[in-house]
Amino acid sequence: MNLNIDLIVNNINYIGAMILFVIGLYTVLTHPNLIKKVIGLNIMETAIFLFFVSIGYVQGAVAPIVNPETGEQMFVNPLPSAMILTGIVVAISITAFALSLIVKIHAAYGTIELDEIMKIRSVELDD
Amino acid sequence: MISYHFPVFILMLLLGFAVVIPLHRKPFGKSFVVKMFSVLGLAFILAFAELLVVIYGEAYSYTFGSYQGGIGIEFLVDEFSALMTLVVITLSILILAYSVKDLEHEIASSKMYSYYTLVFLMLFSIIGMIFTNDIFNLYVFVEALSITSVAIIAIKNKKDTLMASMKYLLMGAIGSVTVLMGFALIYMVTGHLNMSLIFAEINEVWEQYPINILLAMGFILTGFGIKAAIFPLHNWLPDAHSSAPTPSSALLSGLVVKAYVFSIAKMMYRVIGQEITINIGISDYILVFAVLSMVMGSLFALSQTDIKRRLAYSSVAQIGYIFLGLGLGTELGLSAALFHVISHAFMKSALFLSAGSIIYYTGNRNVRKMDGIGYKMPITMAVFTIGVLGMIGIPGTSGFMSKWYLGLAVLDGGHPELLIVILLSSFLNALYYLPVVVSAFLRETPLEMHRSSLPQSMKISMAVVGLGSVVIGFYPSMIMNIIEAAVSTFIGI
Amino acid sequence: MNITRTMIEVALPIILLTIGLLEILLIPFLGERQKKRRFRRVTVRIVILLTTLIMIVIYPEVLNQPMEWHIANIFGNGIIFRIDLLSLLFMIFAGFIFFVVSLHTAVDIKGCGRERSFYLFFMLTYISTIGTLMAGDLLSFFMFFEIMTFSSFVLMVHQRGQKVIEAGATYIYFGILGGLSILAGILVLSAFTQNYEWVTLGEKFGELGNIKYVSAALFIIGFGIKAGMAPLHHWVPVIYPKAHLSVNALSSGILMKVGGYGILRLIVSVLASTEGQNDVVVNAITVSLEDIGAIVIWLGIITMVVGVISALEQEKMVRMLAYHSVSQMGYVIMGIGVAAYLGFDGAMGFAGAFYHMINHGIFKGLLFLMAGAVFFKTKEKNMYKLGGLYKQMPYVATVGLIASLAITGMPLFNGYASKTILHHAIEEAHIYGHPGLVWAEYIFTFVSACTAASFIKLYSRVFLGSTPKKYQHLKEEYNLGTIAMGIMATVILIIGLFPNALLNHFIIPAARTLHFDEYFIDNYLVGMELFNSYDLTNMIIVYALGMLIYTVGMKFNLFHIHLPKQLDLESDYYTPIYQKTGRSFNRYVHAIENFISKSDVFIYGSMLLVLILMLLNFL
Repeated sequence: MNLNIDLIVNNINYIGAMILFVIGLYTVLTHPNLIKKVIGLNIMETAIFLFFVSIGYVQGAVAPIVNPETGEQMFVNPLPSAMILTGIVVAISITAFALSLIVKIHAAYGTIELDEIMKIRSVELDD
Repeated sequence: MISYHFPVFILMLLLGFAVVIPLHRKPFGKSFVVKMFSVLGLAFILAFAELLVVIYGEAYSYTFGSYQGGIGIEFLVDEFSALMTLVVITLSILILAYSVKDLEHEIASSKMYSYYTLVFLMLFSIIGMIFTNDIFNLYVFVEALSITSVAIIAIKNKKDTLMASMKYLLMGAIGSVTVLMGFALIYMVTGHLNMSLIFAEINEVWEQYPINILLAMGFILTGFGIKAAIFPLHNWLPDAHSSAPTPSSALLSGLVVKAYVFSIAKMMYRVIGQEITINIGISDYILVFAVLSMVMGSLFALSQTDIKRRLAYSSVAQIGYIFLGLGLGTELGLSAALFHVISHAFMKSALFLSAGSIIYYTGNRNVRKMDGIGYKMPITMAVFTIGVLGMIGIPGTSGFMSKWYLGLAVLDGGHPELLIVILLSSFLNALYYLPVVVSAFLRETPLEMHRSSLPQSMKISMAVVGLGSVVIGFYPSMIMNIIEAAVSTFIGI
Repeated sequence: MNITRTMIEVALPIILLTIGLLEILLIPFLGERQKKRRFRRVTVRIVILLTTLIMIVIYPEVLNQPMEWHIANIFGNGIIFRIDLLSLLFMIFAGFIFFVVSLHTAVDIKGCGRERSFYLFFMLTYISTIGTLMAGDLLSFFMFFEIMTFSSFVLMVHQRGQKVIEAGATYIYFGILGGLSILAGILVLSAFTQNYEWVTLGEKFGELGNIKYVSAALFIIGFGIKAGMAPLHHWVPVIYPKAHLSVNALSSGILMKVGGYGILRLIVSVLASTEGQNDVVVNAITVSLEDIGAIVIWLGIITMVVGVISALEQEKMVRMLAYHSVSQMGYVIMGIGVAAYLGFDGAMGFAGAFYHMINHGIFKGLLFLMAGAVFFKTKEKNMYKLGGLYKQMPYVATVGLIASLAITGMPLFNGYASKTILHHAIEEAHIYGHPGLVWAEYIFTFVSACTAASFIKLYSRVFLGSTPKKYQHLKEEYNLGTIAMGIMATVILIIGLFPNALLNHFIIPAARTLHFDEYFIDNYLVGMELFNSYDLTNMIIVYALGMLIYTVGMKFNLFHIHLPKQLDLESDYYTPIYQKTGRSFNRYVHAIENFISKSDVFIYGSMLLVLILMLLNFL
């Protein structure tokens, strides 16, 4: 096996993020239920956040708070965490918007399963 | 390099007004319209001043709070950004002038204020996306644009609108997430978020971490491709653009999609640079999908009977033209693509606005039933005909000039067979647009019904958009000179 | 006098176009009542006459050297107008045909309704035709060409029925296809020469290499569609029966000629480019011209044959005349081909093509006007159902006789001169060029004979013989249309009696300025004896053969043989293809659309996968 166990363990964050990304993508694209799609979207976004944060991590470094006593030290990169905060806000707004749209769709169609909605729409379009 | 504050003024003006709108108590009326147009007029003056400053001066970079590029956010104001901002504000003035009367029939009157809030936020994000020089800032604006552009579709509470906006939202969100992944990969290897600094680093990094860069470009292209409606990923576009209220369709087709294409152009040329793009074959990849878009978009449009759906598929084909210009990888190609961005914005807005007027006047969306409308609504059909002639490529309209430049770029870039594709696509355009014009003018009217007569504001705004398209067609050099100056800074910086 | 001279020198094209534009702007307002309508018609005719006179006035100027006007800053590169002898004669001719047809519209269009739009687009077609002929650079040429196509489309479908519009769709799509083909040719040339003028296009042509064949092919296809060249002539018999006959006269008379003018202009500019070049380049140019010329000759021959054979089969007058238009344009195209093939010695082909375009415009216009007059009175289009009309309509019968004799090439009528020159041209082609072209000459004679047979058939069926009962009470009407026909018939006779006049005043000076070999022109064209025995005997052979074909055909009913249904290109080939492709097309498109809507996963995943794999290739 060319694959080094060390390689996997050291990079487990990235591999985990990728696996989560694919799971989220699969969920969004295949499940017919709209709420599950939104959940899948959230999983995808969580995967990205995980990826981003693990970029910033430096091994053997401390949290990025400057303590004048201890002097120069290796800090974990604070920038990705800041970006993730923005990302989380964005994810929440998209989820909120999507959920309100789902409420409206339910009021209009009576169902939130995509196949049934497609059936209702194709019946309407053929008129 | 003197740095003027115009970009920030424009953005703050739009954002400020957007925030202030919900505070209005009185029902939607004249006073609000006056306020809105004065704000837009001010923004127009600022954008025009910006353009003059940049043309007679030079491109400059604007930093926020005097934090330099690597630490703070930077706006790079070059000629094309200023021009594009001016086009965005001009078109939005015209489309919003149209919308004041048109929306009474389409959305509930309690939602009018919300609509304008969303439109202003959308304009804010488009202009932000055009100016920004920082990839994470780009991501933030992309998200803001994503949500607001879905919202201006969903605000019309009909069944098909809701489903279409859901689809757009989900696919758009997938796109954004993919893009963010790409940005993460780039940040991982270069450690910068500022586009110019990334470009400086990228050549060394390319030797060490090629896979990262490749994966990043792959994700970014696919993600932005979903939002910009490249061929196989375009399925949200026909539903979204056809079921939306008319001003939203015009704004979406004309401005929003172009903002994403412009971001792809920025990524390709400003971040990873022209050489790497050509070396790894991204240009050829885009070319394949551009050709598919051009042909398949037109083929799909042939079989639609709803006029707005036909226009939406035509948008897919026209965006294929822009990608063709981008995918050539030469300066001539990039200028032709940017020229088409502006000319298509005018033409497609003219087409959507006149189609909306037809729907407003007759309540009928079916293309087969448009016999004889030309005599009832001469101005509308005249604007529609101008748009159609532009799409086919008759000299005297801006569409012809963009086909001309694209043709020259294609031949210059060494792909002469693509010329046949461009002309085939023009012919297909004629096949599905001409029957509408012919039946409108040359057949007799079977029915006499009309819903309500067309308000003056709608007629005037449509006419001005059509006129703009013709003016660009007769004097393309005023825009082309600006674009060519911009391209050299674009590829250089 | 001086003021007019300077005004003309400075801005003649603008003056011409502005006069036309003013008229166009005036037309919609001249409205509803009878008197105003007549006023409008009169103004149209006066405007056309005025512009034609202006064009005639500048003839002495242009004789010295071509006139050029530059108007900068429009379209990014400026517009150039350039009038030289070649375009001037066509412009005068265009003005003449438009004027005569406008006189005839009093017969066709007057009662038909929607006159306003007809005259509007009539004037628009007029100024766009003039603009096309005046254009000095390819971009403005293309612009006026497209405007001409679209406005003539509106004229063609003036009758506004369902079938008319369907036929018109064929016309406009072919027209757009032609325009796009020309645009492709222009783009290919401009990309390699960085310049858009007709003159310089020729200059770089020699240096180009194989790309010039591509560009030339695109131009020839584009202009060929307009000129009705086979195999792209399908639109002619589809739209001509459905349009008004004045419009047919217009289209056959001048619009098809613009196609021929385009190809001629291309060849001539290429020849002109050899000025001042060294021998190697000149050689390269003549060799490439030879190849192009050979192909164009054979395309012309095919067109001639296809046109005339299809014409022989027709029963309806208008379709027959339409096919004859195609066939006669085949003569012209063949002549242009000879001009290209022989290069510097091609003056004969050039003269023949040029002359025949003018002659054909006149006699074909007259034939359509005659058919229009007959149809207007009898309401019958089938020539087999008519007969003996020389008693009821003597005037029309006379002009019809003049026109038929002209088209078949009877000496003393204008067709004789041009057909003889073309015959000489094709003879030279096989004497000085490839001997295989002798077959081309035989086919030429055969086609002339078939033309003669066809017109013998037309004339005898319509005007001679006995009159069917229902037409016996017809009385002829004398109106502006008769004046129009009279003018054309007179011109035919004048040109026929003095064929060398046109040659000496227009064609030979044009040939001289266009770099054809001087020695050749002096020896063969100047003072050409057109009435010599060799050519006259040729004509006798043609007529004899024609009579033979006619009698054989009538006897064995050959003229009613249509190609079996499966091979008849028109209605049984194109139409089913249109219909079937339309229906199945919609089904396929909907199927693909549904597939794409439902398989987001597949598409997204596969696109990402393909991209990443492709990119990973680069390691």
